[in-house]
Amino acid sequence: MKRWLPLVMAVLLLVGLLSACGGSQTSSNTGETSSQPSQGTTETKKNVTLSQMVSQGWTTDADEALSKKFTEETGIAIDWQVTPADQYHDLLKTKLNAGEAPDIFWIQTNPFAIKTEIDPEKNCIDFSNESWVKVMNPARLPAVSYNNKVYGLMLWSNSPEYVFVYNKTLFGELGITKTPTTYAEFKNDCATIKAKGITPIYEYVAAGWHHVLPFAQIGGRYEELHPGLYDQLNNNKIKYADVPEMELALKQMKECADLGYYGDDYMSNTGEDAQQRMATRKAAMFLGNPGDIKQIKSDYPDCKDEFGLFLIPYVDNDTFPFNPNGPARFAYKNSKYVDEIKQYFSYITTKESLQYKLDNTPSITNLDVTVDIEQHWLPQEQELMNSIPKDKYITVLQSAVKYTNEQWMEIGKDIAAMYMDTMTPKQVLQNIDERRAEMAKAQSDPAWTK
Amino acid sequence: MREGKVMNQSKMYPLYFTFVALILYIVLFIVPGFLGIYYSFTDWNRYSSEIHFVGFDNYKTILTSNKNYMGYIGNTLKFTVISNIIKIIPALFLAILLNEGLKAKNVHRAILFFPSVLPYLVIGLIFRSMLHPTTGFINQALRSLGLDFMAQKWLVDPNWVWPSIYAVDAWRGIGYVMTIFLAGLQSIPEYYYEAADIDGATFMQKLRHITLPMLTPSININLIFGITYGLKVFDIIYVLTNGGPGHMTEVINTAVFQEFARGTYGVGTALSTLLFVFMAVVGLFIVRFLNQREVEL
Repeated sequence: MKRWLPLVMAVLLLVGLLSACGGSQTSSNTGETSSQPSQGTTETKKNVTLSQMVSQGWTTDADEALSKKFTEETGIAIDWQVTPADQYHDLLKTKLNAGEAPDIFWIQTNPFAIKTEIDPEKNCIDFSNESWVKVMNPARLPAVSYNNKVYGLMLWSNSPEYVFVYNKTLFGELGITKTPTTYAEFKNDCATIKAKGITPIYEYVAAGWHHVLPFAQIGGRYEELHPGLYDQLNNNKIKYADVPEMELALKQMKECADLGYYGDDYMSNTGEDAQQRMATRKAAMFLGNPGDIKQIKSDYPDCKDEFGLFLIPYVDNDTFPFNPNGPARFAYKNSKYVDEIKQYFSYITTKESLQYKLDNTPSITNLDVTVDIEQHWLPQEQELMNSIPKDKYITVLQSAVKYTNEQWMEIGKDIAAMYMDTMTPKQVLQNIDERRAEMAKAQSDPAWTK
Repeated sequence: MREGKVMNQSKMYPLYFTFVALILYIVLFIVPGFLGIYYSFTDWNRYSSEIHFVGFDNYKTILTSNKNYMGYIGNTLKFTVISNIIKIIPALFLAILLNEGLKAKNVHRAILFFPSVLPYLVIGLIFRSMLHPTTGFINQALRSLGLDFMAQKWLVDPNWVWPSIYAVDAWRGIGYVMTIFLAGLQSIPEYYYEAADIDGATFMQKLRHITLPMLTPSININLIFGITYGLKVFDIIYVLTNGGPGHMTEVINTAVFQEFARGTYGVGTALSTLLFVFMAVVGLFIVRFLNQREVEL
């Protein structure tokens, strides 16, 4: 018996190894074997799994429910790979650089950044001839296009993005009858709220991205104060560190943190409980979207407070943060399942799918699409949008200035360092300039290399 | 001794037996290593297919940049030293404890070793949640025990972030170090201790004169593993703090990762080359020193 034992073990080991090798082969090729027509117009392979990588917060339950419906109808499964926001950016770029990207991946789009972010000609499937391209608002096409070819699909709302969502009822109870329009008023209101033991602003630095917004969303204000600033920045005629208002914005953000207006745990917060804190009056305001009001009302029916919106008042900002960009799906050029990806994109852009997504996503009030679906605009957002003159609708910094969005997470680290007193506002700006120069030189941008 | 000489002289296996292994090693390890060093002298990046020789520009960037790369190198060295001290000393005593004189020692060994097999990502998610200042288990537990003053902002307070990382790293790594010590302890012949007992030696005397000298090979292995792990550290920092708060816990490999993510491969390889040279020098020095010590003992 003992003589046979090693032999049996060896055979088992061999079988195990072979089955393991076979297993990996199967998982990537299952779709090749059983082709069956779907309910759509194209013939599809059943039992294919498409991997879809997305940053936490960009996708919703409705997206996942739609992908399940799609699987039921076509047999094509979607494997969602949801990654924490602070790691997503680096992880995706590393995967793309290593040639191991998932079938579908999302990025925060930006016409200036699309080349540096994902190099679409090298990495992405060209969708220019797909019928669903027309579903997107033409204003959003530049963000998902490169050299006149469309590579991405953006289904995003057209709401005022990242303005202050505030508890109107609480403000009223504390005697704050008018929303702040200047930094001085804002600081006074924060002091009043803090005196009542409530955190004035819920901020979340640990997510890595959110705390950069107050600096970048008021780009319109910098441009308003220095007409032509965006062009000068894009042509390397001026640097971030040379713009006093940018430094002022960072100083004001830091001052709010130092005065305790962000609360005690803003450095550890990751944002998942933002609505809960607003609904339970642990925080009086946070930088969010109109959809957050909808979500608070939907998730916390006990909360009877009313919520409103106002512009970020740092540097006395009065401009509307216009942004035609947003998170969008792209597909990997070297994927084995190009037809299945196209089929999936077609499915999620039908009128029924879009209406389903909107109806079942409390965090959005509308979808910026050309298809005639029933939108759910909130009166608060319409009120805010109508109150701002159209000439004050100015594109946000990250969408207007080159080499900014690409370093969003690194700016986040620098601002966190500023909050920790290990960097000054000036140094934060100098670091941004240094990274911009590095990226520009690497791409042989004539404005930097001449 | 004489037998050994005869063995060497007879040369039982011809040299060409090593060729396949050598070729594989050269192709898979040596060549990529040297290519990496070569690329550190170029402007290799994601945006251009052309690569130009730029001399020491990438190294100059490292030394002069606003990004405080020297601070990251300092953090790496600090982590290497402290994390090893924190792991090796307790692991040694745990191994001695679990080698004898404790009931159900296999259960204890398994429990202590368990964290070593957990993926870093899982550890990161668990501990980030547990160490949250408001909603985390640790602070909530401390508060419920009336120990509010001990509740800290573990992963974001400049004074606590490194100790928190060391603690999580020790929690994960101590079982592994202990296992190597256990293997070493079990190879020490029992009669040394019996003889010492007869001579009336105390625990500390036995530890100093028998256990530690006989454990030297295990200590050396743990030191070499620990030092190389410390210098190459990435995962535990990445999952717990991602180099934050700000850049406070940035180490060489988190910086390399960021350079690669941004597509500036040249600077990334320059940083990796610095790490490689440093590790080679330190590794050589330590191996020689430890071998010398082993012979003396």
